[in-house]
Order: sequence, then C-alpha cells, then structure tokens
Amino acid sequence: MSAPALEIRGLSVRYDQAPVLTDVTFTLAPGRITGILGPNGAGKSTLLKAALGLLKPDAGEIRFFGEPRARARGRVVYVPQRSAVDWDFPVTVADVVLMGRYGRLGLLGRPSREDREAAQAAMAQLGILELASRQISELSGGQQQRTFLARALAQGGELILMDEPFVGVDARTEEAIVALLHQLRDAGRTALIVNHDLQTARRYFDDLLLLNRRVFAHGPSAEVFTPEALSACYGGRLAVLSGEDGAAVVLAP
Amino acid sequence: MSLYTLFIEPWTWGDWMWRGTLVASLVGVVCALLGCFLYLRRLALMSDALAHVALPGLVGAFLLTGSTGPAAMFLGALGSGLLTTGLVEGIRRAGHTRDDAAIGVVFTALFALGVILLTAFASDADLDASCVLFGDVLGVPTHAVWTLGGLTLAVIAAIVALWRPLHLATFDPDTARLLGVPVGALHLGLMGFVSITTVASFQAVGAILVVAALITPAATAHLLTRRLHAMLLVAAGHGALSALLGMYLSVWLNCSTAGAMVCVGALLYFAALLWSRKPRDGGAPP
Repeated sequence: MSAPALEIRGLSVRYDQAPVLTDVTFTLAPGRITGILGPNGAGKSTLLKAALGLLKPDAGEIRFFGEPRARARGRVVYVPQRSAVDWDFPVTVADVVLMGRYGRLGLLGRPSREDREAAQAAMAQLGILELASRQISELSGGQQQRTFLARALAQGGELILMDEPFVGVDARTEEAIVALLHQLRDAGRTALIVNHDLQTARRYFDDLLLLNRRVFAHGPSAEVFTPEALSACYGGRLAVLSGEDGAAVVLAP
Repeated sequence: MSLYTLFIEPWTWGDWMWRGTLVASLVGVVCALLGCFLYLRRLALMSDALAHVALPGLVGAFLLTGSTGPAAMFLGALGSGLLTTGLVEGIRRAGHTRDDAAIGVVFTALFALGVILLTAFASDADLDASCVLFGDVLGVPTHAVWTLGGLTLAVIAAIVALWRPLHLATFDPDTARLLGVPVGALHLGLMGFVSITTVASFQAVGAILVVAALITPAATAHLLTRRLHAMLLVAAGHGALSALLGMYLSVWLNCSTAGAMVCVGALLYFAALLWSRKPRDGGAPP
C-alpha cells in the first residue's frame, strides 16, 4: 500500500494562547477527495495552513507521502482563500498561472518553453485562455478562482489543498471546479478542500472530515454525513433531520 | 521671459545644474524601484521607519568608529535598518500588537535614541541635523554621486536577477514559501537595500523627503499599470521626471530642490489619480 498523501498526528495550534486546534489526527488516503466541514471559527483554514507549515503548530507531526514537508515540496499544491489575495496587484492572469512553475526554476532560473506550455494548457483547461492578458482585478469571482486553479494545475502536484474554493463563484465555475477535481482524482491525485456548504458536501466529496477545534468524524461521506455527527460537530447551531436513507437533511446551516 | 531662459539657460550656468539633476534623478529612480516593492507589500510606513532609523545608525557608527566616512555610515544605517526590520517582525510574530503600531513604536523609539546619542555624545560630529532632515542636492560630493550610481545599478541588477522569486514573494508570500522561495531572505535583502538607499539619498534630499521619493512614484505607477514590470518602469519615470521638473522649479523659484521634487511628484500623482479610471475597489464583484 502506498504512503498516505497526508498524515497528521496530534496537531495542536494556538493563537494568543487560545486553542484553535487540539490534538487533530487523521490520514488522507491517496486518490480521494476529502471535504473539511465545520462551523465558522472551527479552525478549518488554520488546519490547512498548519499542515503546510505557513503557521507554527504547538505540537504535532505532519507527513506528506510519508516524508517530512520539506522533501515533499513540489508534490503539494495550495489554493488560498480568494479573500487572502491582493486582487489589486499589477499582475495578469498569465503571470499568475506561470507562477505555478516557479518552484522548478530555482532562484535565478527562467521559465522554459515547457513551463509556458504547461501554463497555457492549464489556462485552456480552465477556459480562461482568452483572459490571459487581463489584470486579475478585472476578473469576476469565478474567473479569479479559475485563475488560481489553473496555477495549481500548472504546478502539477499530487495533493491539492483548497481553502473555500466555492465562495463567491458562479454556479458554472463551481461545477467546473468540481468536475476538474473529480477528473484529477480519477488520475490518482488527492484533494483536501475546506468548504462550508453542507448542501453539496455529500455530492462533491468522497470523504468528509468534521472539524470543530478537534476532529468529530472522518470517513466516507455517506457514513459521516449523519444527523448525529453533524449536530455534535456544529453544536446547537444547526437544524438537522434524518432523511429517507438515513442521511442528514440540513435545514438551517 | 522666453522659453530659452526658462528651460535652456539654467544648463549653461555651470556644472551644478547637471550634477544636481543627475543626483536627483538617481535618487528618484532607485527610490522609485524599491518603493514599488514596499508599496505592494503594504509596507509604505516601513519607508518612513527606515528613513528615520538611519539617524541612530549613523550616530552609532560614528561613536563606534569615530569616522563619518561612507563605509561607516552605510554599515551603521544598514545595521539599524535590519535591527528595525527584526524588531518589527519580532513584535508582529509575538502577536498582541498591530503591524503599523509595531512599526510606529519601534522607529520613533530608535530615532529618539539617535537624537539622544547625537546631542549627548556626538555633538562634535560633523552630522548636521538639518542636512540629515532636508538634504542638499547641490552639495553632494563626487564620491557620493558615484555611490548613488553604483547603488542604482546594483538595485536594478538585483531586481532583474531575482525577478520571478521577488514577484511571487511580493504577490503571494504563502505560495512562494511553499514553492521554496526564500521569502524571509528576500524581505531582509529588500529592507537592507532600502536602508542603504536611504542613507545614500540623505545628502541629496534628506531623511524626510526620501520617504516621498520611495512611495509617491509607486502610488502613481500603481494607478496607471497592469503588470509589475510596467509599474516599475512608470515609477522610475515618475522619479526621474519629478527630479527634472523639481530642478527647474527650484531654479525658477530659488527654493529647496528636494521640496520642489516632492511637490512635483505629488502633483503627478494627483494627475494620475484624476486620469486613471481603473476600478480601485479591489476587484470586480463575483
């Protein structure tokens, strides 16, 4: 059996002494799409950032493909939350997508023809080729998200971590992102996606991780998406009923 | 008064017009280039900080070495600039204090320390406070012109050589880190260059106005451009044009060159603001 795409053991993170994540432990099997669900302030984005080493955990061990993070660098791709990006930056769509290749160039390298072709192919796949010379502030939310996804594709990692990719995007972009994720999964890639939309969770993700400061449940979506587990994770902030097949029906997220 | 007297004749009045324009343009260009990166990293206030902490750096270097030579001055300013960067970064990481407040507290404290050191122990040093603050474009000695020229070339060379990592680290530091770009080292390098540039620009425009030379061209160029290299070119052009027009204005009005440069630069900024119709709200609605 191949090494897990991501293995996290005993991860704890604090901001200003207040615990944000406590003793988070889980493993992601390769070739599956996992959605992280949880209420606001549950530490979903923090979990991604801590896993990537963008903020320092108090405790915990993190391994990508059985190796420490530094050795798995090129294999892991991160798509930040849209609100974390400076959309006013003087940079075009083509510039951003090509940045996905910078990890291969070293400090002084220049992009090769292969790098440029990979960026072109990624833009074509996301349907943003005709936007290549637009500045990123001139894009709609969906186009902005497609641009960052194209950059992730151009980078070509095996594990992709996305923070709220569906926030503020149009329905067509959402469908396109999901289709692309499923396509990547079928090609053996792994995805971990922070999401807060419960209505689509079961349809989009193979596995679910219910998180609220700690892991409440983790496993195949059909098993995890139950009224009991969701109520436990969201506390009283959610009205859930049992549907016909025993799965949860969410009334008020 | 003819156009000739206004625009051509000053150039026949002697070396100083040529030299002054050269010095002012070099300051304008090198500050504009570095300023773009400060601006895009939302560190405009850092230019103010680094300009001020050059003073304790200079005084400290003088007290340690007993020299006011360029090497001691550069190392002093570089040291205090990096110390400031480190302190601000340390306070920021410790949490509890907002970034801008951290910068404000650190640089004013170090500047005050410099004032104390200067008045208590170095009053005999050849460190003219008004010159440090306001500069004198026409009093710049030849070796300082060479220094400024070399510095400008070094900054251009560094930006060209490190173009891609610098671009990515400025736009998206998280992703840069994940791709193995040495974000922290680039940041320190940038701050080091700004510190050195501040000192090199001192004699010409003074510590206060160097802040304008760092930020105004970047703010102007950001209004007018859609890509980083274009922004740098427009900012450099703004710096050089402000220098040239500032020289004319100072000749016509017989006023401070640095003051004239900054006012011209600000006018160009407002013109760009009125002319630019780029949406400035941070992006189109979803």
